[in-house]
Amino acid sequence: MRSVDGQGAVLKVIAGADFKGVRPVRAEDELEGEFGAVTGDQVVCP
Amino acid sequence: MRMATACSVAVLVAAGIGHSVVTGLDTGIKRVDAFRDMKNRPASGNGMNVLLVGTDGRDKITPEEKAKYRLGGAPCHCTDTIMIVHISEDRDRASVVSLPRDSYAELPAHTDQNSGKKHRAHPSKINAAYAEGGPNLTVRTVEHMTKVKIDHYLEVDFTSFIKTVDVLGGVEICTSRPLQDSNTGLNLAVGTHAMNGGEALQYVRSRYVDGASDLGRMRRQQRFLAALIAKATSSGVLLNPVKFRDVTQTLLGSVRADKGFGTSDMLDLGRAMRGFSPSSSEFTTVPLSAEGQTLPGIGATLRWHPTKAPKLFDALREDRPLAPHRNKPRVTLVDVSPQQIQVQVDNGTAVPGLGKRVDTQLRATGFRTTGLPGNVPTARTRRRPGPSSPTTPAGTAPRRPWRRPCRAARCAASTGRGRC
Repeated sequence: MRSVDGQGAVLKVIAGADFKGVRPVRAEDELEGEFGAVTGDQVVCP
Repeated sequence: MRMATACSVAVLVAAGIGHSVVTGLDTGIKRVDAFRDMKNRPASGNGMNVLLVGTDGRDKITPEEKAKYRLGGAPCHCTDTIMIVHISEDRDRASVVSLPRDSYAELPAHTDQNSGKKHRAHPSKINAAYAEGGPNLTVRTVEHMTKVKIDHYLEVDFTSFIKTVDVLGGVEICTSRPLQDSNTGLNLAVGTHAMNGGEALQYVRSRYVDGASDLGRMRRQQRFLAALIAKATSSGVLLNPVKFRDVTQTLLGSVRADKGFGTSDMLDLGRAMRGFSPSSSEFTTVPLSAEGQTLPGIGATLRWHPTKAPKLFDALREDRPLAPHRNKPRVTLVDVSPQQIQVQVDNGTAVPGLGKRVDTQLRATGFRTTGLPGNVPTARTRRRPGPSSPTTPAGTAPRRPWRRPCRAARCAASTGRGRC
C-alpha cells in the first residue's frame, strides 16, 4: 500500500457480520531476530 | 534460479519411500569431484551442510521454451545462486543461507581448470570461484569464508530447475506488488500465481524488478524455495511411490552432485523429514556491511558484515535455529509496515463491541488505529482489497472491487486501481 495524493492517510475498515479475526502481519523489511531469518510458512501464500 | 532449489526437494522428496523405489536412481546423477585434495578443512559440526549451486546451463531446453522464457544466448556457466542448506542433526529443520554472488571473496590458491594456470590466493567475487576452479574451488572458497564444513555439493541448472518444478505440478507464488523484468519477461500482477517451471525460472532469475537487485532476487528465490517445499510436502508426492519415483528420476537425472551423495543419504534424510513443512524451513542472507569494496578489474563487491556474518555461521556450525523461536500465531510478511498505516474502524453490524474488537486486533499487529471505532451499517467486513493490503481479516475479503464504503478511506493499493 502507499499513500496517494489527495486521498489522505487513513485507511477505513468496516467490520461486518462475517468478521472472524485479523491475521497478524509484519513488514518484510523489519528483520526479526539476530539473523533476520524468516520461516517458510511466513512467505508462502496464505 | 539457477537453482539449488530442486536439490532441497530431492532431499525432502525422499521421505517415507521404500528403499526399493530409489535404489539405483542415483546412478543417473552426474558426479563431480567437489572435495578433491582438500586440506585444512573446518571441523565437522552437528547436522549436515549442503552447498547448493545454481548455474545457467540450458542444454536441453527447447527453442520454444528459450524464446518464451527469455533463455536465449549462450550460458556463461556462472553460479548466480549459492546457498548453504543446513539440515539440523535431529532433521527437524532446514536452514538456508543465501550468499550473494557478488560477495567479496578470497579465493584460495588453485590451478585454473580451463587454462591450467596456477593462481595464488587472490580476492575476487565469490562466483568467480566456480569459473576459475569449478565445484572444488567453490567448496573451498565457501569453507574458507564461512568456516562451515560442507558435507555435500549439489548443482542445478536451468534445465533441471524447469523439469523439477513441472514434475511436481508447479508452485504457487504470491506477490503483493506487480513484478516486471523485461530481461526475463517476468510480468506478474498482484495476487496469487500458479507457475510452471519456465515461469518459476523467470521469477527466480529476475534481478531488475526493484532497486534491491540481487538481494531482492535472493529473497524471491527463498520465497520460491518455501513454495516448493510447501508443494512437495502437501501434494502427496512423498507418499506416492510412483509419483515419487518420477520426481526423483527427473531430479537426479539432471543435477550434478559430489560422489558421496547417493541413495542412502536421500533415504536417511527423507525418513527423518517426514514431518517437514514450510515452517520447518528458515531462510536468510548473509549479513552485509554497509560499505562494499571495489576490486581493480573486477568491480564492486559486497563485503560480509565483520561480526554478524561470523555469528550466523557459528549458529550453523552449532546447529542452532536462525529464526526466532515463536509460539505466536503465524505472521504474514507484507510490503509496508503496519506502523505506517493509520486506521479508522467502524462497526458495520448491530453486534455490540465489534468495532472495538477489530480495533484492538489491528492495533495488536501494529496498525495505528484511532481507538475510537464508529458505527456504519453494512453487511460485510470491508477494506481496501487485494494482497497489497497489509492485513486481511480472515475469510472476509470482499468479492467486489472496493469502491467507497466510507468517506474516510484514504489509502490506495500500489496497483493504483482502487479508488476511494
